[in-house]
Amino acid sequence: MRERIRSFAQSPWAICAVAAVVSIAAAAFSAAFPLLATDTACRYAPMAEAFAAGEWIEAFHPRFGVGMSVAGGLAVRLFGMDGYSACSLVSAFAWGLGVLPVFRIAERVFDRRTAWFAAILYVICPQMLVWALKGLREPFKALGILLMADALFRCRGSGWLNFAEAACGLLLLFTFKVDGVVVGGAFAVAYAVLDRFRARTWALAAWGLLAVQPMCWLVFEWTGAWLPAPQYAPYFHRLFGG
Amino acid sequence: MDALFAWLFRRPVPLSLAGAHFLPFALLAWVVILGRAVTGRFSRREWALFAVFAVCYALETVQLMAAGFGFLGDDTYGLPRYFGVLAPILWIWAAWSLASVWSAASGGWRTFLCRAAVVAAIAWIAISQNYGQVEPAYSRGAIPDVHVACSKAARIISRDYAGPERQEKPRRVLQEYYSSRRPVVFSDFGAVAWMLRGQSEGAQQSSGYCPYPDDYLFIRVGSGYGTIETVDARQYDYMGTVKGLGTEWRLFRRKTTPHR
Repeated sequence: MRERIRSFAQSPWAICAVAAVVSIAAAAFSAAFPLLATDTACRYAPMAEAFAAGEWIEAFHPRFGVGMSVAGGLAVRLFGMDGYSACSLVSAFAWGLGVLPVFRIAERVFDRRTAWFAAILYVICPQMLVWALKGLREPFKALGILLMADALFRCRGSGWLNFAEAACGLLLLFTFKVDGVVVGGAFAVAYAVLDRFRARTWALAAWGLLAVQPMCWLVFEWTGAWLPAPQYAPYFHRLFGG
Repeated sequence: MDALFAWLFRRPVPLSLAGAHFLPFALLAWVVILGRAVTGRFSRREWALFAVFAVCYALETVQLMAAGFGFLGDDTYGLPRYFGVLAPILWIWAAWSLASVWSAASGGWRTFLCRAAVVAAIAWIAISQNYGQVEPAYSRGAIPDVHVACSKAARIISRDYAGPERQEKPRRVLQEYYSSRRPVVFSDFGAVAWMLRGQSEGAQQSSGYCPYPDDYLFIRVGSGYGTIETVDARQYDYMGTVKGLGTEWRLFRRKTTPHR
């Protein structure tokens, strides 16, 4: 039995299995017992329902990104649940997936044993779990940061799977929170330097540019400035007029 | 004291520090980081990981200071959880310390003691922290009290309201999201309107940006949102008192709100 546990822990699929189980369990629990939070009740839940109903004007707001409306809206559409439960579900799922990059980063920096302890600490930490149960966007941002950090640690000599990881992280950072754009941009620059501007770097740059376009369009609609986040619009207008 | 905390939490730097206080993980992590850095045991990868943490923290703080969500107003707005997303990076050092204790002793009862200590620490953290944070959110404390009060108010409002389900002229506000759903309820706890399931919206009156007049007011007695005395009797009808688990709330209807 002990040997079996040890060989399971050594398997690269073990943490994937743990991440999948934690994500699905957290998502199911949060959908069944969502915690009430004003932010989700007044913003993300109605936005998700509006997205599911195809009411685009009500579905998006530049201050809150496009990610939560789309993710929550798809959950409303797919599972036929209300907006609040849908936001809790996707948020909890994202929180659960965070186990995987935490494990991989800890394994890279220290060793596999530390990685397992990091995964355990991540799962038992209540603060992040509460945010997830409330259907907030923070678990997505945390997942984006962790994915990008892991991609940075493994980008030298890695293949296109590493690019996929970075692309997912960048997408999350660019679309879920407006303060994630600068952080995502900094990660992208660091990735380019570590990758020595090879093909993946340019692919990631193209992907990043593509990923911010929905937000740029949304901010342009509201402020008249083609920017990935609305808080810079006043500075943009001050510099370029308008 | 509340005013001091309110002021501090509107300043980016103390706000960012509040985000780092994910005890007990963060405390353990900072001890390990300082210990390893001072004794020169920090590896290059650890420095790289710490750089990721520090740069993300700095960028978040600078954004709050420079951009400051300035379109919201003159003041900076932020929450500790904006920084809390970086906490899992810190926990990796906490995990290293646990892993080190786990494999510290070699053989015999010392190994058993070390591993028992680690298991006990993890179990204590899991139970005490989750019991302290998650469980009360469901069974007692502030949120369930509000939950109970708001559920009751939502039932009363849904029976009372007889107006349209949508605003006739939807308006957009850059500072805050407002859907066009009705009735609009201004409350200490904005989620009350969500409980009206697809017919309403909880608006945060304190932000002052809501483009629609409120249909109902739902105020907790003796709390910060507004005082009962300030409710203008010429504009609102008092509908009654609603009790949560431990708090008392007052429900008002605007005189112009269509009702049964």
